Amino acid sequence: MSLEEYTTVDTKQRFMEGIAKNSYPQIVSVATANPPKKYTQVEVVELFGTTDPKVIKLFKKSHIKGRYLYLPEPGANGIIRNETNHELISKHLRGSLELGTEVTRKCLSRRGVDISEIDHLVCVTSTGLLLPGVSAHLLKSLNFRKNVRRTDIVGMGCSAGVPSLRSAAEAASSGAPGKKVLLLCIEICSAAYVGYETIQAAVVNSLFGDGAAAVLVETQKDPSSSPQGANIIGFECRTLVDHMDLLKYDLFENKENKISLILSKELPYVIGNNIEDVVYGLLNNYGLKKRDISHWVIHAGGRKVLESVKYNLGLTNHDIKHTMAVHEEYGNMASGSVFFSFERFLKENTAKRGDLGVLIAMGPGLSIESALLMW
Amino acid sequence: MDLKLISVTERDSITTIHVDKLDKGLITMKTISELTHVLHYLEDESECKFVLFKGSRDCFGRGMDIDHFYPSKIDYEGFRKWEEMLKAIETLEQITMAVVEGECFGAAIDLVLTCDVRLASEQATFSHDEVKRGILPGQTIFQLGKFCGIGKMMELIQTGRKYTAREAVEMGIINAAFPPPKMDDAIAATLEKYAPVNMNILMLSRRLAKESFHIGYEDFIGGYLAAQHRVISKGVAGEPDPDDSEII
Repeated sequence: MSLEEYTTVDTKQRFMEGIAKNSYPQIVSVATANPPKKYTQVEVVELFGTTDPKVIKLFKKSHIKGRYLYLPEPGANGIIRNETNHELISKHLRGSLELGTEVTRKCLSRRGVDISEIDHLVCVTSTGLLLPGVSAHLLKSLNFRKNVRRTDIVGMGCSAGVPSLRSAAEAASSGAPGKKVLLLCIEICSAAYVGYETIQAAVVNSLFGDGAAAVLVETQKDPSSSPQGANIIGFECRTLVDHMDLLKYDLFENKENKISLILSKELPYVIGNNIEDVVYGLLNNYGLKKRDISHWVIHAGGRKVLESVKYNLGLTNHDIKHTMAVHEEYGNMASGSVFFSFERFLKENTAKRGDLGVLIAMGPGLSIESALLMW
Repeated sequence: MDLKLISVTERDSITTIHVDKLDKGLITMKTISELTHVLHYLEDESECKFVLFKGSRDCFGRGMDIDHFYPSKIDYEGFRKWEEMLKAIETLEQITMAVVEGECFGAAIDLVLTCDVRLASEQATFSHDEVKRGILPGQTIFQLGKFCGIGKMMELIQTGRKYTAREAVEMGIINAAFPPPKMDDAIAATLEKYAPVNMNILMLSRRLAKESFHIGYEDFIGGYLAAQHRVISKGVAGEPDPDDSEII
């Protein structure tokens, strides 16, 4: 097409006109919580009594400055003993209840919503397997309505924040408007620690932190009223099953017979190779261009993953500054990480009416998940 | 869009944007709007390899029309749109070239500095005259020092003095200057020199080169490896050999 034939179609304008009549589920409140104690990387490596110089160097040169973790008290020698499987499972439940309660109360109080108003609870975790699931335990300890619906999402790992947001949005949109859905992402990553016998295990142990996020999703009873938060417009994803082995739990790779995370060196590059397909797929669904997007919020997966996303999508450090900050200050908190970044972004209060944003998360599968938001 | 202040010619793999109808050579919101329209076209539709920015024989541009941007109140939106437009040039997937003949002042130099290649006629003159007009230089403050060093930059932006094309070459601001009758041949020769550039790596090498100035090596290396992987996996051949050190 020549310049004479080219007409500047304001793709964002066209998109806005196309959706003006519809009402979408909205993110109306976000809250986060962490364990009480934060450790620097040096403190962690000393507490575990590591003497391997390669491991020590890996922790020291990490871009992560600190992580909140549920770690046991050290012994008289200043070193933490290895926790048993039973202790790790118990820790996961205890931490889930503690953080789940805190983050639920924060999220709902910010919106002035009583817990009895919640119609549906979606709970996400991949750092412990409980039966009954986390949602049932939270129902027991908190005052949810007796007929509240619940969904537990397990096994989607770091990417789970976005597909679980999709589940929450779909639940909020079903039936009569005015539904309230509470999404909780609770990850006690320290419940999945194994010893430092390999560099790979050490990398995993240096990366992940404990944290929980809560997101309140609502549909408005009156679609014509002003939006109360970010509208959840749509989703796009890919599950790259041929690369499933790059990121997975494995029971048999360590002497402690604990579940350990396998994290391949190729992971950042495979994500980089495929991220355009997902993001441009999302934008193409709505006739949008990358230049129409004002805000980018990405799961703080790891430094190399973020670099790969940046250079393949043409994003700058400024574009992903909240993600970088979360990565440095909290490490990777799996499914909730993306909402830690999102909370930071909301606190900045720079989103204007009509702005478009994209959430991106990646995780086991190998999956890349994305969501389009509009203010 | 009906272009009134700029015109565009497309020939083979070269698109030339003629910024030669600005009133007194001054940049207004209309200029920014028309340039942005053309940049969107280049991004969305054009398959050209080169984008040239040319002014007239005696003027490339004389900076912002201050009265237009703040007759009564400051038009921050206007300044922001100019900066966004420069960023759009910086992320074009074509080789960009500025060809300066005549006067090139103020914000027009921002545009020149954003281009991959900067040629000038020996009769071209330059000046960062914003300080004389009572405003700050724009992206010049961020870019100019990378070309000529902070010492020279401070002198130029704080005095607003004029300098010649030859001086600009010596300072590294311009790649080369030529006698006016030889400009067309010089442009053609330069385009030929850049023709073998792999377009796949152009944008990434441009980005990495500029970033190398303000980030440390430890921050740079991760981005470089990601970019190199993209280039190899999307471009030439062979599976990349992942880095053996830190995994994530």
